[in-house]
Amino acid sequence: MATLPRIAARTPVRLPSANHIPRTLLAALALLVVAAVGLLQVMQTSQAATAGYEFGALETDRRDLSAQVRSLEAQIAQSANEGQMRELAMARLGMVPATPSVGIKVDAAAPSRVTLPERYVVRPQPTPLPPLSWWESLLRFVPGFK
Amino acid sequence: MADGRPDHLTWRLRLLATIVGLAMCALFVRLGMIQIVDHAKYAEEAAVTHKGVDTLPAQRGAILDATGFPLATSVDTYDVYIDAFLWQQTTKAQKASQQLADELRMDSRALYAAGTSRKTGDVSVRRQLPYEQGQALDKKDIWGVRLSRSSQRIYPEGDLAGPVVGLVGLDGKGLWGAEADFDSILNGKPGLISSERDALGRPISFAGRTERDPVAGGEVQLTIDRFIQGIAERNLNAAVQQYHAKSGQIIVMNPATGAILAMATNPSAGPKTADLNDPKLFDRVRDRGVTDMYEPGSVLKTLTTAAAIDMGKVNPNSTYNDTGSVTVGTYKIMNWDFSANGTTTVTQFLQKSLNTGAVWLSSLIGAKDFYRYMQAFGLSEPTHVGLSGEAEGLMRLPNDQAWSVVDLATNAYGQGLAATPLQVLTAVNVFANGGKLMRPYIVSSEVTASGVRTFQPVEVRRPVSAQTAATVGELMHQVVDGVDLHGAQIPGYDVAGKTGTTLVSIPTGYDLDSTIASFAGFIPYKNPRISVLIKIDQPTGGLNLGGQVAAPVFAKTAAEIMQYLGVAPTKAKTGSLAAR
Repeated sequence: MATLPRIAARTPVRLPSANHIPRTLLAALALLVVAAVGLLQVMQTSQAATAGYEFGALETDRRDLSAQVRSLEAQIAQSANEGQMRELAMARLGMVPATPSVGIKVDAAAPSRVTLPERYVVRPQPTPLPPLSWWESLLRFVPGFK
Repeated sequence: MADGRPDHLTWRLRLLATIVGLAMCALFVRLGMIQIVDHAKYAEEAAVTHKGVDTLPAQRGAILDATGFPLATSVDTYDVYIDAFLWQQTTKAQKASQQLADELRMDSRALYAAGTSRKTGDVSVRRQLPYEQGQALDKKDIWGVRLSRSSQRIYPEGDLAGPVVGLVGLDGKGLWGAEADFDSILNGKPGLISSERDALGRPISFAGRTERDPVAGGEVQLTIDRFIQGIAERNLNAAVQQYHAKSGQIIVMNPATGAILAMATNPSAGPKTADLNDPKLFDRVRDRGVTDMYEPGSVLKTLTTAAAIDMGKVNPNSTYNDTGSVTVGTYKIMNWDFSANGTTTVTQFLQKSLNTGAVWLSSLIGAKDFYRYMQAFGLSEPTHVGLSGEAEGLMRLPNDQAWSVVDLATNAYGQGLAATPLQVLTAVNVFANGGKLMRPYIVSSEVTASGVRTFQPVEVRRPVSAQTAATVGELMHQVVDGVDLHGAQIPGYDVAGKTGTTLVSIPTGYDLDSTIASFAGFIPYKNPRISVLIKIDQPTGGLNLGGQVAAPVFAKTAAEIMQYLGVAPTKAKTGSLAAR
């Protein structure tokens, strides 16, 4: 009977099994993981620090701008001071306080007697008429003008 | 023992082991004491040593007027300090003092002397440096110079409404007025920065740091209108000067709501003129309209008349016989002008302001009902306006031992009792708004981090019926517009009001030479927009009656306010002709 030649016994190739990973590989992997985690940590910390710095700078900017807004508002308010506006209007612009216009219609004689005792009656003082300006004087010579 | 060493511990080793053991025990005990028993104490000491806490000032809220204009507001500033410890290095300190002097425009030698006057701590060299200037100084990074954020109170209207608005002290607390009364609202919550520090007390970069942001203070909006306040103050100051008076007050209100539109006081002081070292400062910064009482005089005759009409005892045409005087008990009460007018109607009694008429009405009303009405009008009780120092008034009641029947007679024409100007105007407002007694208020809203709180008008009660109020309002209209050349008349407008003149009470009775001239009224009569009380204390210029002194001030003040409010005239204008 023919026999097959016996295959020479060979040392079987030992493939790495799941339960048997080389230590160097494991160490390398572990180092890689540690390095990745470390890198991630560094990156996160760096990014957080950068963001924190930017946040701080923005916060400072916000405070500065808020302070400037408050300062400007105060300046505007001080410029709109009623007394100052009044003074400017009168001194610089020559404005005068408005007086209520009085429409007068006199169709009856003044009362002969006042009901308050005479000594307590406040009588309006006659207001002297302001002198006519030169051009108003000239207008009197224009026919039809009074 | 082959090597010659004993195989047991010698007494020396035992002793050494014992000593070392005891020492270790002592150390452990001490460690336990420090780490466990006294942990809190040492932790606190460590925190104090290594951690510094800086306070971040909170922005103080603004006080606004009715139009939203800031009467008081705050701006950011810096306080500048020198670190005395660092300035012990003289060379650097000299250079720094020169740099600092250039920035602050101060004398460098004085700065150097101040900064080296102590060996440690901070030396304050400038408070409330403007913000931009502070920022520029901060960028210079001068050796041993520190800046701390602070704030400065600004009063854009200056002394306007000084006693009402108040003032803030250096500590940031309100001293009087709204600044003090609403301090808890205006004051924010300061922020904190807690950081680790080195041995010199300087913050360590990148070390532990906790920060709590400051919470800005709330805003308080007043019912005061700065333009109306300005009108009132100008006219009051002019009147006090013109009549050589000791003092005066003007209150302007919206009678429909009780909102106070202006509260002027003379003399007064504000942020520009208040001298905190002046021992009499309190006389100039209190709201006399709510703190000071006076005898209202004839203005109170309107309340007496209202009580009699409301009870159905009289109507405007009811009459009595005025003989010029009336005897009550052992006292003889006479008219202010010693006149005797014969048969007089209620309308005429008010127009002529006759004391005998008030006594007649009080006898019709009776003591019990008279005081019931006066209390209903709010006399002798605080108005609860919300300002500090409010007086509640003085009024003797029939069950008081000191009360006598003469009190009823004199109280009827406003003597023998005391009320604040605000109480009087609040009571008179009843005739301008259908018989409702409105609670006066001066704050319209508060805006805080927790929300907006708006104050609504509060009707306290109805002392008289709407019909009675209308009748008395018409009588007050007749008092002004029914009398020729009455000082309170305003061309184009129907005015209702009543004058008051009272003697100044002194400890021994009354000062016959001093009066308080007053006028209370509202305008336009039919649909009142404002009510005004004018009170001029002790005029000495020859004129001293309410009709002479206070009524013209009312006319001028009310006319200007009508113009400002844009209220159309209610009748054809009449008056003297001024034609060219």
